[in-house]
Amino acid sequence: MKITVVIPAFNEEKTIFDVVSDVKKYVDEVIVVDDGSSDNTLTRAEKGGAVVCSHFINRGQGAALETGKQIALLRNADIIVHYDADGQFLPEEIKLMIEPIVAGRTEVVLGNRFLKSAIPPFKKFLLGGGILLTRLTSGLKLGDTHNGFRALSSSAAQKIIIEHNRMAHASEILDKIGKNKLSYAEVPVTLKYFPVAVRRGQNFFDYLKILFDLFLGRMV
Amino acid sequence: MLIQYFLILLVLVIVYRTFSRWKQGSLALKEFIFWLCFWAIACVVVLKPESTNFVANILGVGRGADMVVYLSVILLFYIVFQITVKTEKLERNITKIVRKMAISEAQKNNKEENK
Repeated sequence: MKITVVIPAFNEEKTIFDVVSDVKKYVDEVIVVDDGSSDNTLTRAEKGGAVVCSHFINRGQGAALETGKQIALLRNADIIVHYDADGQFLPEEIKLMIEPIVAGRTEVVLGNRFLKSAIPPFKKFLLGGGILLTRLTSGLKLGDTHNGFRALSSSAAQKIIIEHNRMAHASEILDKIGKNKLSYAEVPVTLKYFPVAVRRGQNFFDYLKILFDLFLGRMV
Repeated sequence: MLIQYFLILLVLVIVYRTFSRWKQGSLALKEFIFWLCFWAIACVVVLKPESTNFVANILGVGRGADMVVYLSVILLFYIVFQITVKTEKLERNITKIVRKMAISEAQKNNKEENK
C-alpha cells in the first residue's frame, strides 16, 4: 500500500524542511504543493525529500489540497493523508490515522484534537459553532470539524473533489463525505498550539468569511 | 434646479457612449434599445420627479423620490451579489488553470528524473 502525504504550503520556508523530513520517515511519499510562496518554500521542501509542484499564483489551501490529491492519484497513492506545513501535527500519529483505512474499516479518517489537547476557551466556542453547523448540514456527527489532519482512501479521494479555494474546503470535505455516504471515523490527534500557530489560526472574522464562502458556493 | 441639468448631461453622455458601443458592434440592438428605454425613463424621472408619485402610491411608498432610492438600493444589492458570484466562478476557473499548469510541470520534472 502506498501512503502519500499531501502538504499545502504557503510561505513556510522556516518549517517545511523539518516537517517533510520528519513525515517522510513514516510514509512512502510526501507531496508538497507550494501555493505561490514568495520565499524558498519550494526548494526547502525539495531538499527535505518531497515531490514538489507549485501554483504560480496563490490559490488557497483548498485549491492546493486538490492539486496535491490529483498528483498523488496520478502517482498511484492508495491512501492520501492531508497534513499541515507549520508543524502542528505529530508525524508519528500518521500511522494511527491510516490504521482504520489499512484495516478496511473505513474510507475516511478525521483527526480530532479535542480528545487530547487543551484548546483555548474562545477557540473552543468558535469550533463548537462549526460542530453544530456540520451536524445540521452534512449529517456527520463529529467532535472536531476544522482539523487539517485527514486520511482518505484513494477511492474516497476520487469522490471528494474540493472546489472551495480557501478555508471553507474543510466544511466542503465533510459535506461531500455525507453526500457520497462514505464511511468515516475520528481518531484523537495531538495539536501543538505554539504561539505562531495561535497567531496564524482562524479568528472570528475568518469564520464569518468561511460561512459566507459556503453560502456563495451554493450560488455558483 | 441645477441638479437636473447635471443629471441630464450625465444621462446624455452615457447614452452617447452606449450608442457608440452599439455602432462598434459590442452591444446587441436589443440591449441598446433596452438601455435607451432605461435612460429615457431616467430622463422623465429627473425632469418630472412627481411622475413617480403615481407608482409610489400604488406600492404604498409616500413619495416618488423615496421609491426611486429604495428601488436603486435593491438593484445595486442585486448587482453586487451577481458580481460576487461571478467573481467566485472566475476564481475557481483561475484555480483550474493554475492547477493544470502545476500538474503538467510536476509530471514533466518527474519524467526527466526517471530518464
